[in-house]
Amino acid sequence: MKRFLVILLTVCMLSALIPAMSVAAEPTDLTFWTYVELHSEFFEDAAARWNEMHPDEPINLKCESYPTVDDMHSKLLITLQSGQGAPDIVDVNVAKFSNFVRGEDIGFIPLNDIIEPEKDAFLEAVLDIYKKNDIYYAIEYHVGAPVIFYNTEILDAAGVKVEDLVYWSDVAEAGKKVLEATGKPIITFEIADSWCYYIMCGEKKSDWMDRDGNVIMDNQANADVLHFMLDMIDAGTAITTPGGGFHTEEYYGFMGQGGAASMLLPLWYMDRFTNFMPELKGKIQIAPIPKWDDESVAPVFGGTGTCITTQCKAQDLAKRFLYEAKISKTGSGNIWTVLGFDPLRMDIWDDDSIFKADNVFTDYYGKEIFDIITGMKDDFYPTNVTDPLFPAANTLVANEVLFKALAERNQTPEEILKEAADELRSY
Amino acid sequence: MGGVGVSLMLTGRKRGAAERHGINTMRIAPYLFTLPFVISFCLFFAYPLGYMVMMSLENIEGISSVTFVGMKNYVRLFGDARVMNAVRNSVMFTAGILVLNVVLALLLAVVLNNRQTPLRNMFRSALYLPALTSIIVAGIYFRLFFGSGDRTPLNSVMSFLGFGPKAWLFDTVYTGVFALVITSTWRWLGTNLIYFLCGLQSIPQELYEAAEIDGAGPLQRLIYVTIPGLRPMIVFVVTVLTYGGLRMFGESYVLWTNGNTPNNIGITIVLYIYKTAFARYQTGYAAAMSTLLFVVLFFINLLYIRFLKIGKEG
Repeated sequence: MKRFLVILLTVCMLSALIPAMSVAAEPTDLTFWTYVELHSEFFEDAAARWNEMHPDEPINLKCESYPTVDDMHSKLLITLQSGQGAPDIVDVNVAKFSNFVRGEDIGFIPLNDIIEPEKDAFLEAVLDIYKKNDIYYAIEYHVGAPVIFYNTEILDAAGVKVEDLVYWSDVAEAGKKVLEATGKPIITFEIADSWCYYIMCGEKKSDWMDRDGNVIMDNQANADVLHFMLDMIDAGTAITTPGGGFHTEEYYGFMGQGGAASMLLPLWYMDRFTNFMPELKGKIQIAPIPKWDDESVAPVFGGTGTCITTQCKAQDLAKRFLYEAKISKTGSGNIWTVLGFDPLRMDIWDDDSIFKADNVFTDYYGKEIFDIITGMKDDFYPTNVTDPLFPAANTLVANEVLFKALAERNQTPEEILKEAADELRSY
Repeated sequence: MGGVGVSLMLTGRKRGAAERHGINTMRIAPYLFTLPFVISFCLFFAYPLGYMVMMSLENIEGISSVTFVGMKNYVRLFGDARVMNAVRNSVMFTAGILVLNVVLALLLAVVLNNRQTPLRNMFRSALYLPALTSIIVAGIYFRLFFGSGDRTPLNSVMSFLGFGPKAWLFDTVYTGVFALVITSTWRWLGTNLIYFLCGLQSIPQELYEAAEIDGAGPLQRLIYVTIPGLRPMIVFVVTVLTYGGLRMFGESYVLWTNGNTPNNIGITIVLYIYKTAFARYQTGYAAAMSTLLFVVLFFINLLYIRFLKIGKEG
């Protein structure tokens, strides 16, 4: 009898636990691959918020951050080709995106149902970069507004004001004053990466390929930009980047020690200064890129789109999570707060509680950063960055064209561009 | 050996039973012992190799858009100037590491084998240490070492010697290959040194004593006793270095960020294959290059085996 009572009591106690256990829903595992460590932090933050707001549908987000762009994309390509091993959610670099959406079998799922209802609030030019046959396959982090970062300590020493540097001709002239007063170049140009040159060409509404996919890399506008860069280098007012590009330890050290007075890239470069050049805090002023003339535009081409792969087993959940993380007003606001990027969602741009709030970027650059972006928005101009030939064209420019034109100088810019364009036409 | 082992393990009764069922254990045992290797060889070598050859005949776009193009990729290969650059760089690199890793490692081994050398055990350990270092770490250090600024380590030495600073990694193919050879030698010298030390310790001391009695000096002892005694080890080191040199990838990939070597001054065969597949996304063409590299390496190894008499007694 005693034994029976003990068993009965145990069963009753266990049965009392059952409702409590059923309340805590089992979390769904989602994997996220990126090549930018900061993006992992952004998504981990978004996952924590999701779990707070959706306790009945929790997710367990596993972020994997790869050290290099190429490393992650080569693994992604192999996993998509082999049909297994791909992550659920993945960051795809804009310059590599076109390769993943070639052919009929595409490894990403359409995102139209989470993008289209909010489309009017977004900068469509950048949204459309990831659209193929009216299907959106990715959602971008940022506009990627091109800006120039000036070291005001160097400019002040030469009596140059940032506000006076409106046109490239102003920069070239001011460069002479800076050189004379400080012995330093006013600007640095990349020779092993393409984005600085791409922006300068894009300002002239030029590109590597036109909207119909025709190779136009060897047009006169692109050659003129190289001639301008060469003239500045010859005058000593510009130098090629130590380390080849803006993302090398050598370059961070050089700029951190006040090696040059400016550099040109999209706004997302802000975190490189805050992370790798903290000694320049309070000395860097962000400004709109100098213009060639009054017809100049501000080319925008995003940078990284987030996709959901077809191998994802919880596609609906992943889509809703992506919506809250990047498309919703809160998510878009966090793109600025956590990442310091200029979000695509324009209906929050005038919200000072987001853009003037204290964070690591306003602390470093001041609170007026986003006013520069809003001031440029009428000049934004989309580029053809997801053309199927773009990955090959970009590799050619980064590895050969700039080095040949600005460092080796055995051929004219026209000859170098013609050679590269002919190769692209032969593909 | 394997057959003998199995037959010893089997009891007479069991062996009798197996033979009654028509299984000749002596005959099948060798196959059983080699089966794990054969399976792993087929899975991880033969199958990928066959797949690579098949891919080399295709134009692959995106993740599954495939068109058969026959020998087009191979034809393109022979007109591609970058392939010639990559081959030239790889051959120059291989020659460079062969000279440094054989001559320098041999001389250092002789010195460190001499009991009169002070702190020789410490030097042995110190020289081997780089082999335990990741190429990523070593590459980042050497990227800064060969940096173009006038205060980088190598340029500081250049300035001390009265020369101007140089952009070693952004200059010519010679400075590019020089940087690769130095980085690779720093990493692998210690390993080759260990090989030669092992070889030296297997040369009978009596030979040196006899040579000394005959009046041979240190140089003559090196030429007539040490080097012939080390011949098998030299052959091994040369073979491994040739193979490793022609398929080198890591040093080039890390020394220039993501392998973006300006105007291909530091591109090697395998790096070019990688960039073609994963930067230009021309997987079929990259497979054609890989197939050709395999054939070339295969024949080079055959030549080594034939002319250096590897695997033959005496």
